[in-house]
Parts: sequence; C-alpha cells; structure tokens
Amino acid sequence: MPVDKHSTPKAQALAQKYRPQLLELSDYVYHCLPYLEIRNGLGFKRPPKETVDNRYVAIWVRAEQAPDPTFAAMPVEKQASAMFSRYGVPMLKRLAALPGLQADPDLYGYSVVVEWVKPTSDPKVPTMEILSVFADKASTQAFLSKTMSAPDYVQGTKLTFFDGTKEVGRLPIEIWEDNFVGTYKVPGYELEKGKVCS
Amino acid sequence: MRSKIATFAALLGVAFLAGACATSEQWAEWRAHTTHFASGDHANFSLSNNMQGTNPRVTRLDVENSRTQNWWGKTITVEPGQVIQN
Repeated sequence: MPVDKHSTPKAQALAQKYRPQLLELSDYVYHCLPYLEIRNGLGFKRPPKETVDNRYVAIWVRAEQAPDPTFAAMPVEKQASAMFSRYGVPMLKRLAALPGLQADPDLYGYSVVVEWVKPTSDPKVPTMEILSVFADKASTQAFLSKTMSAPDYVQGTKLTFFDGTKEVGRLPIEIWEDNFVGTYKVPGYELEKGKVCS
Repeated sequence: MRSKIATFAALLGVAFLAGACATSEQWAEWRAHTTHFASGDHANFSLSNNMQGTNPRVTRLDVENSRTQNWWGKTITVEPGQVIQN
C-alpha cells in the first residue's frame, strides 16, 4: 500500500521505513503462493473504528480453492479455522519474521485477513467470507515460538468474521498445524527466472 | 462463468477432500492429510502447454491473466473499511 494511503504520520513513517521488507513479502506471495492474492494493500493498519493509533503490520489475502463438499459441510467455525490454519498462520509467520519490525516500538502488532468464497454461494455473484485477526506483538511471538498455546493466543486476539455484507463477530476458532503452504506446489507451475521460494 | 471459476480453482489445486459430509473421522483425516487436492482440469485453462497437453506449464503471468479474465466482476462482501482501517 502506498505510503500516502496510510492515514496517520506514524503509519506513514512505518510504511516508508519498511517498504523494502513489505515489497519483498509481496513478491514472495505473488511468485511463490499463486493461489493467494493480496487484497486491499499490504501495510500498517489498525482495527476499524479504533481511535488510538496502534499500528499492526497487516496483510489481507484472498485464497482461491476448488469447491469441495466436505469443506462446505463443515460448520462455519471449522471452515474459518481451516482457512486460518492453512493460510493465516503462515502469513503471521512471514510478518513476524520481517527484519526489524519486531523490535520497533511504533509497531503494536500483526494482522492477517483471509477471505474466501462462501461454499454454495451463487457463482454469478459469489459471497465472500472474511476472517480478520489482530494480535499484539508479544503474544504473536509467544504463539509462534510455541510458548503460548493456540487457544490462549486466539483468546487474546481481536477476531472478526464477516459473511458477505454481514459482520458476524467472533467465532470459536481453532488453530492447528497445517504445512500446506510450505509443501504444496501448483502442478506445472514454473517459477519466474531469478525468483527463489524459501 | 461458473465452470471457468471452478476450473481456475481446480488448476490451482487447492481443494479439500471430497465427501458427503464432514464426520469427525473425515475431519481428522483432513487435518492429517493436508496435501490432498483436486487433480485439476488443465485442458480448459489457457496455458502454454505442449501440443498434447501432457506437460502443462503455468507461469505466474498465466495465473494473472486467468484471474483477470475469469474473476467475478462483483462479489457480495463488506467494504474494506469495515474490516481494517488504513
């Protein structure tokens, strides 16, 4: 997201300072995870309606996946758990690993938004489901280093689920290990010359 | 349009195990086997395949082009500002 699209001086300063790291992350997602699409900018955001200027380094991804009856039959909280475990946690890991950010006092935390097409929605006008998560730096680092349990971590996050145009609110999300992003290769996909995925 | 969307998603191969319903057993299996995916219908995807279509090659540009051509013009969703604030 361009620096000037950030709404406060603090956010703009962060965006300027960490522009190279964010561009590198964007490049990684673009080339290495072609089934994900970054949406609505990658930058330093905050939860909606929050007036205090706590900034979270934030990524919003749309996950494209084939329709599947099993997924469609799951309760919505299981679907959201699956999507967050599969795509959200790897994005959290990438954000938390961005050089310099963790120690920056102007960064409050990390945010990942994952969206996907609601199963069984009208294919002519698909309904999107969105899970947004905001978490502070310390608990995210503790969770990723496995010194905080997933349930405790989830409990401390600002977590909101949206079904189409409706804000549903908090869901009882579970997080489990999912190595999809680290292991899955799109059949026949040729990485652009000079790019490395690691 | 529906088939195009399905095809694109299938090509990307990100799918969940097929089944009639999600029993606890299936759910456990899904968790344990995270690399079960749709085979993909490459024939319907505009790719730089070889003539027989047996060795499909997908570049990032192919993905981008397909996404541009096939993605929905409109979705039912919230405004970004309801989810996150710049």
